[in-house]
Amino acid sequence: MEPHAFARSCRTLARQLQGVPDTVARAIETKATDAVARPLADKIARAFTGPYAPVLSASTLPVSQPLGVTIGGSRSVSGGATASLLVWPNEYGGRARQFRRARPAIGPAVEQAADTIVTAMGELAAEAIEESTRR
Amino acid sequence: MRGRDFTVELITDLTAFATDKAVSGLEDLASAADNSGRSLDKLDPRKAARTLDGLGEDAKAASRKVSDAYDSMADAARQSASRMDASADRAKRSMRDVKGEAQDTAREMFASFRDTGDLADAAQELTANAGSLFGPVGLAISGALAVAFSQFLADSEAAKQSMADLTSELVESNGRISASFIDRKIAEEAANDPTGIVQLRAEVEAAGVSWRDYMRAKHGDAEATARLYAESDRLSAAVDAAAGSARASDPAFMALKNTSEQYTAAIGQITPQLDAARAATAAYGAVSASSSNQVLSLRTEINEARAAAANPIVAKVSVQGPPPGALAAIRQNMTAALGTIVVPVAAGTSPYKNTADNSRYRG
Repeated sequence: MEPHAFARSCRTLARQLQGVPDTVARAIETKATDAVARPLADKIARAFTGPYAPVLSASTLPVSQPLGVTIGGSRSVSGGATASLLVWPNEYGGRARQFRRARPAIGPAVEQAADTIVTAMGELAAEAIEESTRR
Repeated sequence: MRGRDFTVELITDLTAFATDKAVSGLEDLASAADNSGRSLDKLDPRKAARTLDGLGEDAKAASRKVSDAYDSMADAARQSASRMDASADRAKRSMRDVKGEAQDTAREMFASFRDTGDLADAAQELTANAGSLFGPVGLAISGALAVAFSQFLADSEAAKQSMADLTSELVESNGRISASFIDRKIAEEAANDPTGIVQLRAEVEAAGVSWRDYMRAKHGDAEATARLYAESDRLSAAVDAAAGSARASDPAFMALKNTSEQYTAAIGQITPQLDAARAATAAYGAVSASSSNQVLSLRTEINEARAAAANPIVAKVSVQGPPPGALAAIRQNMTAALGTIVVPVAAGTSPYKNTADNSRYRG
Protein backbone atom coordinates (compact mmCIF):
# COMPACT_ATOMS: atom_id res chain seq x y z
CA MET A 1 0.00 0.00 0.00
CA GLU A 2 1.16 3.51 -0.80
CA PRO A 3 2.42 5.17 2.44
CA HIS A 4 -0.02 8.11 2.41
CA ALA A 5 -2.96 5.83 1.78
CA PHE A 6 -1.73 3.66 4.58
CA ALA A 7 -1.46 6.71 6.85
CA ARG A 8 -5.00 7.71 5.91
CA SER A 9 -6.36 4.29 6.73
CA CYS A 10 -4.46 4.35 10.05
CA ARG A 11 -6.07 7.68 10.93
CA THR A 12 -9.51 6.46 9.90
CA LEU A 13 -9.11 3.37 12.04
CA ALA A 14 -7.83 5.52 14.95
CA ARG A 15 -10.89 7.78 14.64
CA GLN A 16 -13.18 4.78 14.54
CA LEU A 17 -11.48 3.18 17.53
CA GLN A 18 -11.78 6.41 19.46
CA GLY A 19 -15.54 6.26 19.06
CA VAL A 20 -15.91 2.60 19.93
CA PRO A 21 -16.49 2.87 23.71
CA ASP A 22 -19.18 5.52 23.17
CA THR A 23 -20.77 3.51 20.39
CA VAL A 24 -20.81 0.39 22.51
CA ALA A 25 -22.26 2.35 25.45
CA ARG A 26 -25.01 3.75 23.22
CA ALA A 27 -25.75 0.36 21.71
CA ILE A 28 -26.04 -1.18 25.16
CA GLU A 29 -28.21 1.67 26.34
CA THR A 30 -30.61 1.31 23.45
CA LYS A 31 -30.57 -2.40 22.73
CA ALA A 32 -29.56 -4.25 25.87
CA THR A 33 -32.94 -3.84 27.57
CA ASP A 34 -34.66 -5.76 24.79
CA ALA A 35 -31.81 -8.07 23.96
CA VAL A 36 -30.68 -9.01 27.46
CA ALA A 37 -32.88 -7.73 30.28
CA ARG A 38 -36.26 -8.66 28.80
CA PRO A 39 -35.42 -12.34 28.18
CA LEU A 40 -33.96 -12.54 31.68
CA ALA A 41 -37.06 -10.92 33.16
CA ASP A 42 -39.26 -13.42 31.30
CA LYS A 43 -37.12 -16.27 32.56
CA ILE A 44 -37.33 -15.08 36.16
CA ALA A 45 -41.05 -14.40 35.84
CA ARG A 46 -41.65 -17.95 34.62
CA ALA A 47 -39.50 -19.37 37.41
CA PHE A 48 -41.64 -18.10 40.30
CA THR A 49 -43.64 -20.68 42.18
CA GLY A 50 -45.83 -20.53 45.22
CA PRO A 51 -48.98 -18.54 46.06
CA TYR A 52 -47.44 -15.21 45.06
CA ALA A 53 -46.03 -16.39 41.79
CA PRO A 54 -48.63 -14.52 39.65
CA VAL A 55 -48.06 -11.27 41.56
CA LEU A 56 -44.31 -11.60 41.39
CA SER A 57 -44.34 -12.60 37.74
CA ALA A 58 -46.50 -9.64 36.82
CA SER A 59 -44.19 -7.26 38.65
CA THR A 60 -40.98 -8.59 37.14
CA LEU A 61 -39.85 -6.10 34.54
CA PRO A 62 -36.75 -5.34 32.56
CA VAL A 63 -35.04 -2.02 33.36
CA SER A 64 -32.44 -0.11 31.44
CA GLN A 65 -30.90 2.18 34.06
CA PRO A 66 -29.21 0.33 35.60
CA LEU A 67 -29.52 -2.54 33.19
CA GLY A 68 -31.25 -5.46 34.81
CA VAL A 69 -34.50 -6.80 36.09
CA THR A 70 -36.59 -5.25 38.80
CA ILE A 71 -39.36 -6.74 40.86
CA GLY A 72 -41.51 -3.75 41.41
CA GLY A 73 -42.27 -1.92 44.60
CA SER A 74 -45.89 -1.06 43.86
CA ARG A 75 -48.59 -2.49 46.09
CA SER A 76 -49.59 -5.80 44.71
CA VAL A 77 -51.70 -7.64 47.22
CA SER A 78 -54.73 -6.73 49.27
CA GLY A 79 -52.75 -6.29 52.46
CA GLY A 80 -50.70 -3.61 50.83
CA ALA A 81 -47.52 -5.63 50.45
CA THR A 82 -45.54 -4.95 47.38
CA ALA A 83 -44.02 -7.53 45.11
CA SER A 84 -40.57 -6.41 46.20
CA LEU A 85 -41.51 -7.22 49.77
CA LEU A 86 -43.00 -10.55 48.78
CA VAL A 87 -39.95 -11.61 46.87
CA TRP A 88 -37.77 -12.19 49.92
CA PRO A 89 -40.05 -14.57 51.78
CA ASN A 90 -41.05 -16.18 48.52
CA GLU A 91 -37.43 -16.97 47.79
CA TYR A 92 -36.17 -17.72 51.28
CA GLY A 93 -39.17 -18.22 53.42
CA GLY A 94 -40.36 -15.83 56.09
CA ARG A 95 -41.45 -15.53 59.61
CA ALA A 96 -45.15 -15.78 58.90
CA ARG A 97 -46.64 -19.14 58.08
CA GLN A 98 -48.31 -17.82 54.97
CA PHE A 99 -44.89 -16.98 53.57
CA ARG A 100 -43.98 -20.54 53.24
CA ARG A 101 -40.97 -20.98 51.21
CA ALA A 102 -41.48 -21.36 47.49
CA ARG A 103 -38.83 -22.82 45.20
CA PRO A 104 -36.01 -20.28 44.77
CA ALA A 105 -36.51 -18.63 41.41
CA ILE A 106 -34.21 -15.65 40.88
CA GLY A 107 -30.81 -17.14 41.61
CA PRO A 108 -31.24 -20.27 39.50
CA ALA A 109 -32.82 -18.27 36.67
CA VAL A 110 -29.91 -15.80 36.62
CA GLU A 111 -27.44 -18.64 36.83
CA GLN A 112 -29.07 -20.48 33.95
CA ALA A 113 -29.22 -17.33 31.87
CA ALA A 114 -25.60 -16.33 32.57
CA ASP A 115 -24.18 -17.80 29.38
CA THR A 116 -26.95 -16.29 27.28
CA ILE A 117 -26.40 -12.90 28.92
CA VAL A 118 -22.66 -12.98 28.23
CA THR A 119 -23.25 -14.06 24.64
CA ALA A 120 -25.94 -11.44 24.02
CA MET A 121 -23.80 -8.68 25.50
CA GLY A 122 -20.83 -9.81 23.42
CA GLU A 123 -22.95 -9.78 20.29
CA LEU A 124 -24.27 -6.30 21.03
CA ALA A 125 -20.75 -4.99 21.54
CA ALA A 126 -19.41 -6.78 18.47
CA GLU A 127 -22.23 -5.38 16.33
CA ALA A 128 -21.60 -1.88 17.66
CA ILE A 129 -17.87 -2.15 17.02
CA GLU A 130 -18.47 -3.48 13.56
CA GLU A 131 -20.92 -0.68 12.84
CA SER A 132 -18.59 2.03 14.13
CA THR A 133 -15.63 0.75 12.14
CA ARG A 134 -17.76 0.50 8.99
CA ARG A 135 -18.62 4.20 8.97
CA MET B 1 -45.95 3.53 50.47
CA ARG B 2 -43.89 2.25 47.68
CA GLY B 3 -41.30 -0.23 48.82
CA ARG B 4 -37.78 -0.54 47.57
CA ASP B 5 -37.57 -2.41 44.31
CA PHE B 6 -35.78 -5.68 44.21
CA THR B 7 -33.30 -5.36 41.36
CA VAL B 8 -31.09 -7.83 39.61
CA GLU B 9 -28.45 -5.58 38.08
CA LEU B 10 -26.31 -6.62 35.15
CA ILE B 11 -22.96 -4.94 35.41
CA THR B 12 -20.87 -4.78 32.29
CA ASP B 13 -17.47 -3.34 31.55
CA LEU B 14 -18.11 -3.36 27.82
CA THR B 15 -17.86 0.39 27.67
CA ALA B 16 -14.90 0.63 30.00
CA PHE B 17 -12.23 -0.72 27.72
CA ALA B 18 -9.63 1.78 26.68
CA THR B 19 -8.86 2.38 23.04
CA ASP B 20 -6.55 5.30 23.79
CA LYS B 21 -3.38 3.30 23.43
CA ALA B 22 -4.40 1.74 20.16
CA VAL B 23 -5.57 5.13 18.89
CA SER B 24 -2.33 6.91 19.73
CA GLY B 25 -0.36 3.96 18.32
CA LEU B 26 -2.24 4.24 15.08
CA GLU B 27 -1.77 8.00 14.94
CA ASP B 28 1.99 7.60 15.48
CA LEU B 29 1.98 5.00 12.79
CA ALA B 30 0.11 7.30 10.43
CA SER B 31 2.70 10.04 11.04
CA ALA B 32 5.53 7.62 10.40
CA ALA B 33 3.83 6.47 7.21
CA ASP B 34 3.35 10.08 6.12
CA ASN B 35 7.02 10.81 6.76
CA SER B 36 8.00 7.83 4.67
CA GLY B 37 5.48 8.85 2.07
CA ARG B 38 6.90 12.37 1.88
CA SER B 39 10.35 10.93 1.26
CA LEU B 40 8.92 8.86 -1.54
CA ASP B 41 6.68 11.56 -2.99
CA LYS B 42 9.40 12.64 -5.34
CA LEU B 43 8.85 9.37 -7.15
CA ASP B 44 5.22 10.15 -7.78
CA PRO B 45 4.63 12.86 -10.36
CA ARG B 46 0.95 13.23 -9.45
CA LYS B 47 1.83 14.12 -5.87
CA ALA B 48 4.43 16.63 -6.98
CA ALA B 49 1.88 18.19 -9.30
CA ARG B 50 -0.57 18.55 -6.44
CA THR B 51 2.05 20.19 -4.24
CA LEU B 52 2.76 22.53 -7.06
CA ASP B 53 -0.90 23.47 -7.38
CA GLY B 54 -0.76 24.72 -3.82
CA LEU B 55 1.76 27.44 -4.70
CA GLY B 56 1.16 30.83 -6.25
CA GLU B 57 0.32 31.62 -9.85
CA ASP B 58 3.82 32.96 -10.52
CA ALA B 59 5.34 29.78 -9.33
CA LYS B 60 3.01 27.78 -11.50
CA ALA B 61 3.72 29.91 -14.55
CA ALA B 62 7.45 29.58 -14.05
CA SER B 63 7.17 25.90 -13.49
CA ARG B 64 5.05 25.41 -16.60
CA LYS B 65 7.81 26.96 -18.66
CA VAL B 66 10.34 24.59 -17.17
CA SER B 67 7.91 21.82 -17.75
CA ASP B 68 7.52 22.80 -21.41
CA ALA B 69 11.26 22.82 -21.75
CA TYR B 70 11.41 19.34 -20.39
CA ASP B 71 8.69 18.19 -22.73
CA SER B 72 10.81 19.39 -25.61
CA MET B 73 13.77 17.55 -24.18
CA ALA B 74 11.70 14.43 -23.92
CA ASP B 75 10.78 14.89 -27.58
CA ALA B 76 14.40 15.35 -28.43
CA ALA B 77 15.34 12.15 -26.70
CA ARG B 78 12.80 10.30 -28.75
CA GLN B 79 13.84 11.78 -32.07
CA SER B 80 16.73 10.73 -34.24
CA ALA B 81 20.08 12.47 -33.80
CA SER B 82 19.49 14.75 -36.79
CA ARG B 83 16.32 16.17 -35.33
CA MET B 84 17.66 16.44 -31.83
CA ASP B 85 19.23 19.86 -32.36
CA ALA B 86 15.94 21.38 -33.55
CA SER B 87 14.09 20.04 -30.53
CA ALA B 88 16.83 21.15 -28.21
CA ASP B 89 16.56 24.63 -29.74
CA ARG B 90 12.87 24.68 -28.96
CA ALA B 91 13.74 23.64 -25.48
CA LYS B 92 16.29 26.42 -25.23
CA ARG B 93 13.73 28.98 -26.36
CA SER B 94 11.28 27.79 -23.73
CA MET B 95 13.99 27.94 -21.15
CA ARG B 96 14.80 31.58 -21.94
CA ASP B 97 11.72 32.56 -20.01
CA VAL B 98 13.15 31.16 -16.84
CA LYS B 99 15.31 33.93 -15.42
CA GLY B 100 18.46 33.97 -13.35
CA GLU B 101 21.11 31.44 -12.71
CA ALA B 102 18.80 28.57 -13.31
CA GLN B 103 18.85 29.63 -16.96
CA ASP B 104 22.62 29.26 -17.11
CA THR B 105 22.40 25.88 -15.49
CA ALA B 106 19.76 24.96 -18.00
CA ARG B 107 21.85 26.20 -20.92
CA GLU B 108 24.82 24.33 -19.60
CA MET B 109 22.63 21.35 -19.33
CA PHE B 110 21.52 21.58 -22.93
CA ALA B 111 25.06 22.14 -24.08
CA SER B 112 26.13 18.91 -22.48
CA PHE B 113 22.95 17.14 -23.44
CA ARG B 114 23.86 13.86 -25.06
CA ASP B 115 21.69 11.11 -23.75
CA THR B 116 19.24 10.36 -21.02
CA GLY B 117 22.06 9.75 -18.55
CA ASP B 118 23.25 13.34 -18.96
CA LEU B 119 19.71 14.54 -18.82
CA ALA B 120 19.13 12.79 -15.55
CA ASP B 121 22.30 14.29 -14.07
CA ALA B 122 21.45 17.75 -15.35
CA ALA B 123 17.91 17.53 -14.16
CA GLN B 124 19.16 16.63 -10.75
CA GLU B 125 21.63 19.52 -10.86
CA LEU B 126 18.96 21.98 -11.88
CA THR B 127 16.52 20.59 -9.39
CA ALA B 128 19.09 20.98 -6.68
CA ASN B 129 19.97 24.54 -7.71
CA ALA B 130 16.53 25.87 -8.47
CA GLY B 131 15.32 25.44 -4.95
CA SER B 132 18.10 27.55 -3.50
CA LEU B 133 17.79 30.23 -6.16
CA PHE B 134 14.19 31.27 -6.18
CA GLY B 135 12.70 30.65 -2.80
CA PRO B 136 9.11 29.53 -3.20
CA VAL B 137 9.25 29.92 -6.94
CA GLY B 138 12.40 27.89 -6.99
CA LEU B 139 10.70 25.23 -4.99
CA ALA B 140 7.92 25.27 -7.51
CA ILE B 141 10.45 24.85 -10.25
CA SER B 142 12.04 21.99 -8.38
CA GLY B 143 8.60 20.48 -8.14
CA ALA B 144 8.02 21.06 -11.83
CA LEU B 145 11.33 19.46 -12.60
CA ALA B 146 10.48 16.49 -10.51
CA VAL B 147 7.19 16.26 -12.37
CA ALA B 148 8.72 16.83 -15.75
CA PHE B 149 11.56 14.45 -15.11
CA SER B 150 9.16 11.75 -14.07
CA GLN B 151 7.01 12.51 -17.09
CA PHE B 152 10.04 12.32 -19.28
CA LEU B 153 10.89 8.93 -17.94
CA ALA B 154 7.34 7.75 -18.02
CA ASP B 155 6.58 8.81 -21.55
CA SER B 156 3.61 6.54 -21.99
CA GLU B 157 0.76 5.34 -19.83
CA ALA B 158 2.34 1.90 -19.70
CA ALA B 159 5.66 3.32 -18.57
CA LYS B 160 3.87 5.45 -15.98
CA GLN B 161 2.17 2.37 -14.68
CA SER B 162 5.45 0.52 -14.67
CA MET B 163 7.03 3.39 -12.72
CA ALA B 164 4.24 3.29 -10.15
CA ASP B 165 4.51 -0.49 -9.92
CA LEU B 166 8.27 -0.28 -9.59
CA THR B 167 7.99 2.35 -6.90
CA SER B 168 5.53 0.41 -4.83
CA GLU B 169 7.52 -2.78 -5.40
CA LEU B 170 10.67 -0.99 -4.24
CA VAL B 171 8.92 0.26 -1.17
CA GLU B 172 7.39 -3.14 -0.49
CA SER B 173 10.64 -5.02 -0.93
CA ASN B 174 12.76 -2.42 0.81
CA GLY B 175 14.70 -1.17 -2.19
CA ARG B 176 15.11 -4.29 -4.25
CA ILE B 177 12.85 -5.44 -7.05
CA SER B 178 12.01 -9.03 -6.29
CA ALA B 179 12.24 -11.92 -8.72
CA SER B 180 8.59 -12.78 -8.20
CA PHE B 181 7.55 -9.23 -9.18
CA ILE B 182 9.54 -9.51 -12.41
CA ASP B 183 8.12 -12.97 -13.16
CA ARG B 184 4.62 -11.65 -12.58
CA LYS B 185 5.12 -8.68 -14.93
CA ILE B 186 6.55 -10.93 -17.65
CA ALA B 187 3.64 -13.34 -17.28
CA GLU B 188 1.20 -10.39 -17.52
CA GLU B 189 2.87 -9.12 -20.67
CA ALA B 190 2.84 -12.58 -22.22
CA ALA B 191 -0.83 -13.04 -21.35
CA ASN B 192 -1.82 -9.62 -22.74
CA ASP B 193 -0.14 -10.05 -26.12
CA PRO B 194 0.84 -13.66 -26.80
CA THR B 195 1.59 -13.20 -30.52
CA GLY B 196 3.38 -9.89 -30.01
CA ILE B 197 5.72 -11.36 -27.47
CA VAL B 198 6.69 -14.23 -29.79
CA GLN B 199 7.50 -11.72 -32.53
CA LEU B 200 9.39 -9.50 -30.10
CA ARG B 201 11.40 -12.46 -28.92
CA ALA B 202 12.39 -13.31 -32.49
CA GLU B 203 13.48 -9.71 -33.11
CA VAL B 204 15.39 -9.42 -29.87
CA GLU B 205 17.18 -12.72 -30.30
CA ALA B 206 17.97 -11.87 -33.92
CA ALA B 207 19.74 -8.76 -32.59
CA GLY B 208 21.87 -11.01 -30.42
CA VAL B 209 20.30 -9.90 -27.14
CA SER B 210 19.53 -12.44 -24.42
CA TRP B 211 15.74 -12.68 -24.34
CA ARG B 212 15.78 -13.59 -20.68
CA ASP B 213 17.89 -10.58 -19.73
CA TYR B 214 15.88 -8.34 -22.05
CA MET B 215 12.58 -9.20 -20.39
CA ARG B 216 13.96 -9.13 -16.87
CA ALA B 217 15.67 -5.78 -17.47
CA LYS B 218 12.51 -4.37 -18.99
CA HIS B 219 10.69 -5.11 -15.76
CA GLY B 220 13.30 -3.69 -13.44
CA ASP B 221 15.91 -6.38 -12.83
CA ALA B 222 19.03 -4.33 -12.09
CA GLU B 223 21.42 -7.24 -12.72
CA ALA B 224 19.91 -8.05 -16.10
CA THR B 225 20.07 -4.35 -17.01
CA ALA B 226 23.73 -4.27 -16.03
CA ARG B 227 24.42 -7.36 -18.19
CA LEU B 228 22.69 -5.78 -21.19
CA TYR B 229 24.61 -2.53 -20.83
CA ALA B 230 27.88 -4.41 -20.25
CA GLU B 231 27.36 -6.39 -23.45
CA SER B 232 26.44 -3.22 -25.30
CA ASP B 233 29.58 -1.51 -23.99
CA ARG B 234 31.70 -4.54 -24.91
CA LEU B 235 30.40 -4.48 -28.49
CA SER B 236 30.91 -0.71 -28.76
CA ALA B 237 34.44 -1.08 -27.40
CA ALA B 238 35.13 -3.89 -29.88
CA VAL B 239 33.85 -1.71 -32.70
CA ASP B 240 36.01 1.21 -31.52
CA ALA B 241 39.06 -1.05 -31.22
CA ALA B 242 38.47 -2.54 -34.65
CA ALA B 243 37.89 0.90 -36.13
CA GLY B 244 41.47 1.81 -35.29
CA SER B 245 43.01 -1.08 -37.18
CA ALA B 246 40.51 -2.33 -39.75
CA ARG B 247 39.40 -0.64 -42.91
CA ALA B 248 35.83 0.62 -43.03
CA SER B 249 35.03 -1.71 -45.88
CA ASP B 250 36.35 -4.80 -44.08
CA PRO B 251 33.40 -7.27 -44.00
CA ALA B 252 34.33 -8.53 -40.50
CA PHE B 253 34.39 -4.97 -39.18
CA MET B 254 31.08 -4.21 -40.91
CA ALA B 255 29.53 -7.30 -39.35
CA LEU B 256 30.81 -6.36 -35.92
CA LYS B 257 29.54 -2.81 -36.32
CA ASN B 258 26.22 -4.10 -37.52
CA THR B 259 25.91 -6.46 -34.56
CA SER B 260 26.71 -3.64 -32.15
CA GLU B 261 24.16 -1.32 -33.76
CA GLN B 262 21.47 -3.97 -33.76
CA TYR B 263 22.18 -4.73 -30.13
CA THR B 264 22.03 -1.06 -29.17
CA ALA B 265 18.82 -0.59 -31.16
CA ALA B 266 17.20 -3.58 -29.48
CA ILE B 267 18.07 -2.28 -26.05
CA GLY B 268 16.98 1.19 -27.17
CA GLN B 269 13.40 -0.06 -27.43
CA ILE B 270 13.24 -0.55 -23.70
CA THR B 271 15.41 2.39 -22.66
CA PRO B 272 12.50 4.27 -21.02
CA GLN B 273 11.73 1.23 -18.88
CA LEU B 274 15.41 0.68 -18.07
CA ASP B 275 15.78 4.33 -17.16
CA ALA B 276 12.59 4.28 -15.13
CA ALA B 277 13.80 1.28 -13.19
CA ARG B 278 17.22 2.80 -12.74
CA ALA B 279 15.83 6.18 -11.71
CA ALA B 280 13.33 4.60 -9.35
CA THR B 281 16.04 2.46 -7.80
CA ALA B 282 18.42 5.42 -7.57
CA ALA B 283 15.76 7.69 -6.11
CA TYR B 284 14.79 5.01 -3.70
CA GLY B 285 18.44 4.55 -2.82
CA ALA B 286 18.71 8.27 -2.11
CA VAL B 287 15.86 8.23 0.31
CA SER B 288 16.33 4.72 1.55
CA ALA B 289 19.30 5.65 3.72
CA SER B 290 16.96 7.69 5.85
CA SER B 291 13.80 5.78 5.22
CA SER B 292 14.73 2.12 5.08
CA ASN B 293 14.95 1.92 8.83
CA GLN B 294 11.72 3.83 8.95
CA VAL B 295 10.13 1.37 6.56
CA LEU B 296 11.32 -1.51 8.70
CA SER B 297 10.14 0.08 11.90
CA LEU B 298 6.94 0.95 10.09
CA ARG B 299 6.37 -2.75 9.48
CA THR B 300 7.01 -3.53 13.11
CA GLU B 301 4.68 -0.75 14.11
CA ILE B 302 2.03 -2.01 11.70
CA ASN B 303 2.15 -5.41 13.33
CA GLU B 304 2.18 -3.92 16.80
CA ALA B 305 -0.67 -1.59 15.98
CA ARG B 306 -2.64 -4.44 14.45
CA ALA B 307 -2.11 -6.42 17.62
CA ALA B 308 -2.88 -3.38 19.76
CA ALA B 309 -5.99 -2.60 17.75
CA ALA B 310 -7.15 -6.19 17.92
CA ASN B 311 -6.60 -6.70 21.63
CA PRO B 312 -9.08 -4.34 23.21
CA ILE B 313 -11.82 -5.39 20.83
CA VAL B 314 -11.35 -9.09 21.33
CA ALA B 315 -10.36 -9.15 24.94
CA LYS B 316 -12.81 -6.69 26.37
CA VAL B 317 -16.02 -7.99 24.88
CA SER B 318 -17.09 -9.72 28.03
CA VAL B 319 -19.45 -9.16 30.85
CA GLN B 320 -17.76 -8.17 34.03
CA GLY B 321 -18.30 -10.48 36.93
CA PRO B 322 -17.67 -14.03 37.81
CA PRO B 323 -17.38 -16.85 35.31
CA PRO B 324 -20.60 -18.91 35.12
CA GLY B 325 -19.17 -21.57 37.44
CA ALA B 326 -18.69 -19.04 40.20
CA LEU B 327 -22.32 -18.02 40.09
CA ALA B 328 -23.26 -20.94 42.33
CA ALA B 329 -20.86 -19.65 44.97
CA ILE B 330 -22.30 -16.18 44.59
CA ARG B 331 -25.76 -17.56 44.95
CA GLN B 332 -24.69 -19.21 48.19
CA ASN B 333 -23.20 -15.96 49.39
CA MET B 334 -26.31 -14.11 48.32
CA THR B 335 -28.43 -16.60 50.25
CA ALA B 336 -26.19 -16.16 53.26
CA ALA B 337 -26.39 -12.38 52.96
CA LEU B 338 -30.15 -12.40 52.63
CA GLY B 339 -30.27 -14.87 55.49
CA THR B 340 -28.74 -12.28 57.74
CA ILE B 341 -31.69 -10.06 56.96
CA VAL B 342 -34.28 -12.73 57.48
CA VAL B 343 -32.77 -14.76 60.25
CA PRO B 344 -32.34 -12.14 63.00
CA VAL B 345 -36.08 -11.71 63.10
CA ALA B 346 -36.22 -15.26 64.32
CA ALA B 347 -32.79 -15.45 65.82
CA GLY B 348 -31.68 -18.90 66.74
CA THR B 349 -34.81 -20.48 65.39
CA SER B 350 -35.73 -22.21 62.19
CA PRO B 351 -36.56 -19.75 59.47
CA TYR B 352 -39.24 -22.13 58.27
CA LYS B 353 -41.29 -22.03 61.50
CA ASN B 354 -42.66 -19.00 63.16
CA THR B 355 -41.07 -19.68 66.51
CA ALA B 356 -39.88 -16.18 67.16
CA ASP B 357 -40.77 -14.47 70.35
CA ASN B 358 -43.37 -12.10 69.07
CA SER B 359 -44.78 -11.34 72.47
CA ARG B 360 -43.65 -7.75 72.29
CA TYR B 361 -46.00 -7.23 69.38
CA ARG B 362 -48.99 -8.66 71.20
CA GLY B 363 -49.37 -5.82 73.53
